[in-house]
Amino acid sequence: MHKRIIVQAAFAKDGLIIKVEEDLVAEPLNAAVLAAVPSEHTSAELLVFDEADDDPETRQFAEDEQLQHGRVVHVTRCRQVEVVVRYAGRKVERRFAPATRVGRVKRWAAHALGINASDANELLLQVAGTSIQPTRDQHVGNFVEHSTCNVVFDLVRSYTVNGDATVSADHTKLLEHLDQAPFLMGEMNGRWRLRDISWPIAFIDIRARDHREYTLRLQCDGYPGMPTGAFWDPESGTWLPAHRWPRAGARFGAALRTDWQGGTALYIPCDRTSIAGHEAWLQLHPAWTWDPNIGIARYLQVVWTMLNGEDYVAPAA
Amino acid sequence: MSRPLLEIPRATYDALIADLARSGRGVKESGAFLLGRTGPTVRFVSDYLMYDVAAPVSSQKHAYVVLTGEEMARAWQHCYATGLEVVADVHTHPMGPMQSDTDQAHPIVAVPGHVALIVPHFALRDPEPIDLGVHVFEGANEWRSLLRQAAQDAIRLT
Repeated sequence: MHKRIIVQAAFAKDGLIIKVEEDLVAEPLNAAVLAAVPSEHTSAELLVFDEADDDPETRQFAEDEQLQHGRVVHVTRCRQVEVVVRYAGRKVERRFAPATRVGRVKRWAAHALGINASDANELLLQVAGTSIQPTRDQHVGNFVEHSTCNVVFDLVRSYTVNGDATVSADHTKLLEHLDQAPFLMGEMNGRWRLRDISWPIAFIDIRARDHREYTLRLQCDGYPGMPTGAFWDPESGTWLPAHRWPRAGARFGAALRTDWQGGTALYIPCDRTSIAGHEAWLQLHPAWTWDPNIGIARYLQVVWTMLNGEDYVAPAA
Repeated sequence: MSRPLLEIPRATYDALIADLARSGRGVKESGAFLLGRTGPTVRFVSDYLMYDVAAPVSSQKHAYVVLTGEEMARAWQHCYATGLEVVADVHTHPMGPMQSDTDQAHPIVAVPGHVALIVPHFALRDPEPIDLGVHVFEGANEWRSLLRQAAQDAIRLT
């Protein structure tokens, strides 16, 4: 009868399966294990440790290990492994038997760092300077640095997410468009820049031909549906008074009329308030109509075009 | 007035807020590890490591804060090299300074006493400590939140 034994080692991190006689124990068993070591890793210094001969001092950190003699062994030349665990600038150190399972090391480290056991559930050890994240059943001796008996782990969370997921779908869509090429190109080229968002209001500065900046206050609820808005005075926190509005010539008709909606909506086809009742504009001015795929950059492009034409006139004030 | 939890040089605070605003550009969340040393009652911040430096790939891919295990290990390596601890963390929100469910479930450092700051409005409105959320991790998934005057009292700018 034969039995299977798992051999772990720095050269066999995932375990090497060997078959030995069922009744082999102690020295004959160790000899059989060493005989199975691949020739390129053999050495007179190699020792065999049974993981069931564990350290009583760290047994309190074991979790469901179900240790059993003669089942999993470790081959190494290190009698002890010097372990350092780093976490957020703190570090804890301790010596472990090489056949100590990594799960036990992690639980010890969390305890030593003052981390509550329930908070440690999502943390794991990662070999420093690598992306290797050992499983809880692997032996700490598998990860010693080359020709040493030392190992340094970083205690990390496999995936950390922070952020406000309660942002509404329309707000999220606006943020997405503000991070896409049509808006960014205008921002990079100095045509406009985002000043602030106080949802559902976005404040955007648009640069005119004479380098004056006009702040647009756009109400964006329902985005990527059409926004609505007009010029704003960020200093006073009020709509821009009529005498400080820019003017455009005949080319843009009445688009910058200040008497429309009390100066709270631009008289253009991509404005939600103004398009109502003016559906004919969709055929008359197709280049100025709203495109939900382009989004807010379309509105800004229309306003920027008016403020940068030959017929742009700055306010007297 | 209660005792402060964090002490930050004014110049470091101003640079941090400017970097958070720059990194998020008003359209995405940004954040940083706050580095320094932990005193008996106060955590002293002397430097910070932006998430877009420690985690450039995740920062580009997401509109909120994401750190992979490798990116977090990179930050720990930075701490090791500089001899500083992560004494707090900070990230921005598009709106208010309260924690989201994911913020509560994912403490950046899961040691009781760790402080997580939240800066509202993507850090665009020259926020002062009174505008921030100061959230203190108490362990076992529990947090204590300080807002308004309590937040101002918790952060001392020097």
